[in-house]
Amino acid sequence: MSDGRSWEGNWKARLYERVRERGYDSLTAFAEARPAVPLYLLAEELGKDDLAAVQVLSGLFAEAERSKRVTRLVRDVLVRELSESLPDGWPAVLDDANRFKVAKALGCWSADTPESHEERARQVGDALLATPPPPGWRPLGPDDELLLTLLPDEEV
Amino acid sequence: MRVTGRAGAGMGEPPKHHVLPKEFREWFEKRGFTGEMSIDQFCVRMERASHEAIHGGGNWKLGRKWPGEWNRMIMKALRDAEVDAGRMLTRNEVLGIVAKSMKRYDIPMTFTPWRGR
Repeated sequence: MSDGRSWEGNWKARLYERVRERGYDSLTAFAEARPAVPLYLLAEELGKDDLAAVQVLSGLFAEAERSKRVTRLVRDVLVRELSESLPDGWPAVLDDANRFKVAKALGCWSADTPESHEERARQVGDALLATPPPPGWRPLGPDDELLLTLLPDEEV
Repeated sequence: MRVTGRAGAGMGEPPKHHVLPKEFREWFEKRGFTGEMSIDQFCVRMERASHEAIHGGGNWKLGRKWPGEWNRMIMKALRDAEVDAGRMLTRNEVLGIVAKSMKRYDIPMTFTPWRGR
């Protein structure tokens, strides 16, 4: 994270250069090798001073569109968001402070979700709040059982 | 987050931009962004290319499905978080969400007021 250098020059080329330097042929492969790692850490690993998390996200979505795996990516982004915001897993008690932490995570995730999946993402958030997962629940990847139930793979 | 106080600023400085969208001024006012804490206090200086990119324009062509444009993204994050929190967000909570998003977009974390240097 620097002061805006991430947007200088050809950041897309830079992003993919860094991915290839690390031996991966796609951003998706790079990310899959780092399950549940928050997006900002993926970006930091690829370019501490000159790549932004949102650029990594845009690259992942572009790849997912091409391979028709957007729903899976939407689950994956939630996993990373939860990992960042709720490092101890789902809170046992949803008091005001914890409720806000959950709300912040779900809100940020929802804002990162493409329009095509907005409604379904909303439903996932509502379901998690209405019927909370077990305390300490920490999905380890997009194939988490509960997430697959809430947001199964059916391409829009 | 620092507030810059560069003296003699003028030519050659990147332009200022509101981080909290002006179109939603009232929404922010209701959540404590009034007077000395109005949204006009939360501007950042950004180069044109960066600023354009963040608003989804310029040279970058995004996947059609990705809604990363800053204004849309930040209001969605804030409003959805508020619905899920079940109550109005406090000013600090709003700033917390905004700060997190700024880091993800690599927007300089140095606020400067709209007016003055």
